[in-house]
Amino acid sequence: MSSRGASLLVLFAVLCSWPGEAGPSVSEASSDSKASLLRLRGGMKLFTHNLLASPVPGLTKQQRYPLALEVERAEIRPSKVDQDTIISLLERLNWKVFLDALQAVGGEESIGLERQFPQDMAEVISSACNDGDVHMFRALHRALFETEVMEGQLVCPATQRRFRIQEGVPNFLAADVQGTKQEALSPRSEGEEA
Amino acid sequence: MSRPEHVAPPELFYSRDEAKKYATSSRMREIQTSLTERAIELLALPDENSYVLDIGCGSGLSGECLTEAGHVWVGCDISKDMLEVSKEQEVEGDVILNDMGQGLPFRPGTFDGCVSISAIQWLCNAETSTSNPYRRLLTFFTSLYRSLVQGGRAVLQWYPENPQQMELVTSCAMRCGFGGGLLVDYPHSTRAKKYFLVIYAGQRDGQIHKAPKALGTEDAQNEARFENKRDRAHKGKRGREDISKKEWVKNKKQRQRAQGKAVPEDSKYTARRRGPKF
Repeated sequence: MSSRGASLLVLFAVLCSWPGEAGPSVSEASSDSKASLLRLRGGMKLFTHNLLASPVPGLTKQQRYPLALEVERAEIRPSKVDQDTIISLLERLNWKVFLDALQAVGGEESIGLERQFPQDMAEVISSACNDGDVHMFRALHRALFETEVMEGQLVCPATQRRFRIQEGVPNFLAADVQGTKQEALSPRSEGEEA
Repeated sequence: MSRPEHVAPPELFYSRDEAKKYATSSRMREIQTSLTERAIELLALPDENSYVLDIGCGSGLSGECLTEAGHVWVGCDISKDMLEVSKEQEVEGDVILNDMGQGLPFRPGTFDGCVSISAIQWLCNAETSTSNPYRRLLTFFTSLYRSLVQGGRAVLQWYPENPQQMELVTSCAMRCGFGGGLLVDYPHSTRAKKYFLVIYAGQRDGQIHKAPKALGTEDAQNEARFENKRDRAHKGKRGREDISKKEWVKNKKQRQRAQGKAVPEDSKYTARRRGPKF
């Protein structure tokens, strides 16, 4: 019975990452089936994306942030909810950037949340910290720490340089920066001529 | 002493095979773990659940210690193969592929603290003909200062090659606005000696940075002893003080303790004569 369930789950995962499918795909990595052990490797959490800025030299603080997120494949890796961690890390979050990143993954429904997050961060803080809303904590944890981007791209807001996320690791290495530099520069030089 | 940074650039040196050593060798694990634990101790974060940056996280051994200490961390490394291993070890934190000499890609005021184990000596080498170690160091420390919260602390363990290198790295950090300095654990021992660059990014209101104490310096006799004529008269033939056998053994044990060696504690049986044999 359990092995059948496992094979169904794998089939589901394969279907989700089918290349013909449009838009980002979100699949659930489960720890109980042996077949999906390979898929347990972590990716880039949405919380980490919120704190990343462009490494391109010579940009101002405003030009570096935020990096636009393009998701090809995302996964959900269940972990333990820790309210203290969420409270202590919430204050350094840029809420608007987080909502944009969540839209890039596919919105609240795609990661299994019923309610939408409020647009205003003050509401979140008051319901999470003051009222001790357990559902809010769970939703925040799911979105910030369990949703992980496995394949995708980060785009520098000022120079449009692209940084690939491969197997969950964002690549900011110099060689790749230079590789994309020429691509990014070519439309700009056309613009200068015109 | 072998220096991997003289062999090849880090992204090539830490290849698939080298990365595997970090995952399997128990000796490497032990060294890395004890260094990280000491670094976390020096970091002296005010509470758990802090957000910590791990520079040169490699296979994630230092990250495991940070997780155990209750912190959330992000690691960066230049070697793809090492990060591959860290992903296989299922570490808790996120990792990014990045060259620290080109700056850290984080928003200002992101991290409460930063640790780095055996990584920054790689910055002191010119890997290509166009790279300038001095400029790379300045870029690194500037971006590190920016990434830390006000009053945040960074503990960078490294193996300086010579005094000039020590001077270069420390002065670069100070130029970028950091306070603090170099801390040396077990300074009298060749093997146990460890260098930590403990630096502070500014100061919060009411925060006072206390310089941490190095290990193995408690009874170090750094100063020349005062000596007068009357003392000299009591000395033996060769100009040394007459000391008993027991004192000699106790002194020797004390010296070895200062070098960080495992020495049994003193008891009433220490240096006592053994009974007569048949």
